[in-house]
Amino acid sequence: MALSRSVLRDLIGRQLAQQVRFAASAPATQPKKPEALSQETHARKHEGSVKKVEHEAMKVADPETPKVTSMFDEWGTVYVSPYTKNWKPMPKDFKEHPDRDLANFPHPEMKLRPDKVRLGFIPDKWFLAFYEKTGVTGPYLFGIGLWSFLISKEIVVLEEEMSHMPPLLFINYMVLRLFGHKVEGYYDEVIQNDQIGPLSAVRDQELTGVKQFRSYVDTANKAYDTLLEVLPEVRRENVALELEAVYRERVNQVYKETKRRVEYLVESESVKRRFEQQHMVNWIVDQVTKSFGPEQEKKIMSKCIGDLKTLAKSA
Amino acid sequence: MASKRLAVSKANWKKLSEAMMPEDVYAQEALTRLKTRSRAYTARIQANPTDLPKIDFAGMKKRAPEQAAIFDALQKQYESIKIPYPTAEATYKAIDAATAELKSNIEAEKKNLTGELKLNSAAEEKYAKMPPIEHMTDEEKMHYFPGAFMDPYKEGEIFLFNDQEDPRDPDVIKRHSDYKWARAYDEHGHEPHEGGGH
Repeated sequence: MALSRSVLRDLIGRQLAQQVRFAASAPATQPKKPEALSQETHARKHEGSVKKVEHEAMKVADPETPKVTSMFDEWGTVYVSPYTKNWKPMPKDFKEHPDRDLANFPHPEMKLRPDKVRLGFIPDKWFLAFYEKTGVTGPYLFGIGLWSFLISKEIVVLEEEMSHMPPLLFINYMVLRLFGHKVEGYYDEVIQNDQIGPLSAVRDQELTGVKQFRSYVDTANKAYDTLLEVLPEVRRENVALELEAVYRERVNQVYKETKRRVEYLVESESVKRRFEQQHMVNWIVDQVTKSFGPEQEKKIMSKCIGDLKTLAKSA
Repeated sequence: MASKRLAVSKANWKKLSEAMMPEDVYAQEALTRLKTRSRAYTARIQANPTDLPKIDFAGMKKRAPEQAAIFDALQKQYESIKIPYPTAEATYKAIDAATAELKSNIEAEKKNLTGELKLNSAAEEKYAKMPPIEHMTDEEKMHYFPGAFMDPYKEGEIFLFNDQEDPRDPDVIKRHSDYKWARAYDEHGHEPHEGGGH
């Protein structure tokens, strides 16, 4: 291998470079087919190893001057979606209808990450297809040989407009590495906010509505049961209380009327007796005073005055 | 009736008031009416004596011996009087009839509610069987969320003349099918209005 290890690593990935190194020293055995790495695991592997080294020129003494940034700071970053980690995988045996043929028509599953590509547009699968027969450099040599054949035989004529192709490919690659992650992020948000988000919201709303309605139905049923149980009882009680009240009022009326009559009789009797007594007393007193003569009256008067004087002396 | 005399309400008022929602004005008004009636009757009951109280005729006779004959007659009448306890058979029968009607109404309402619950819980069942939204195709989204995703190539293009009309309603479709509302004037030259013009 004339190529240096670092260049090899950049071209074919670290795993393959290790295998190549050991394959040269080990006995000739079947080369192990490498796994196709998805870009997410590729990104995760490099997450910790990427170090952002500040150049000496960037370190400024005055902290108030603005820090110089360029678009190349985010060269080749891989966008990691915050939504896909919540995605649940499609169940393998899901059938909308029992007649669904899952063997010939399996459910399409949306991939979380695209397949790995080399140089921005060549799928990694094609390189793996070559690997068993021709090794690591097979596809590149194939491409170089194919194009040299086509150009030398003038099957593909190098015209003026074809000079646009290499710069365009290079610019494509640059744009992909510089801004690919931003575009991915933007469309991730679009899908989440315009499709998955609203539909999930509709589903959640309907489910909460069903729950609420179910609880409402439970409370309503309980309320109906208590109503049937208590309301007739209350109505009957009200009727019974009214009857009792009326009866008691009648009783009270009888009692009061009887009492009134009895008291009237008693009162009238007492009044009559009192009047009789008074009349008799007055009549007796009148008769007695009439029976006295004038001499009798003087004698009684002087005696009374003498009694009064003695009484006064003694008191 | 005389054997089952009631002086105080023994029903579970608290349970009844808790069953009624505070927002249900009609039920709350009815409840207060029942309560006030009950309280009024109880007040009347407590103001009057339970049974016929005794009058001391002997004492009265002593105080007014001349009226003894009248007192005797009164005593005889007082102690032999039978105050009739009022009856309300018709009211009780009416209450029973009302209870039966209430029961039938409540059963019908419960049936209604169970039917509605069945319809609503169909949504729950649908969502339980649904695949994850992120892995659904557009056709599946149209199937599970009919209003959100509408493909004119599959269902036909729909012109909504106002936001309140549901384009899947067959009456609306019929009305729009012959462009009745789209016309500014009908064959007589008047504006088309439902139920007559100006």
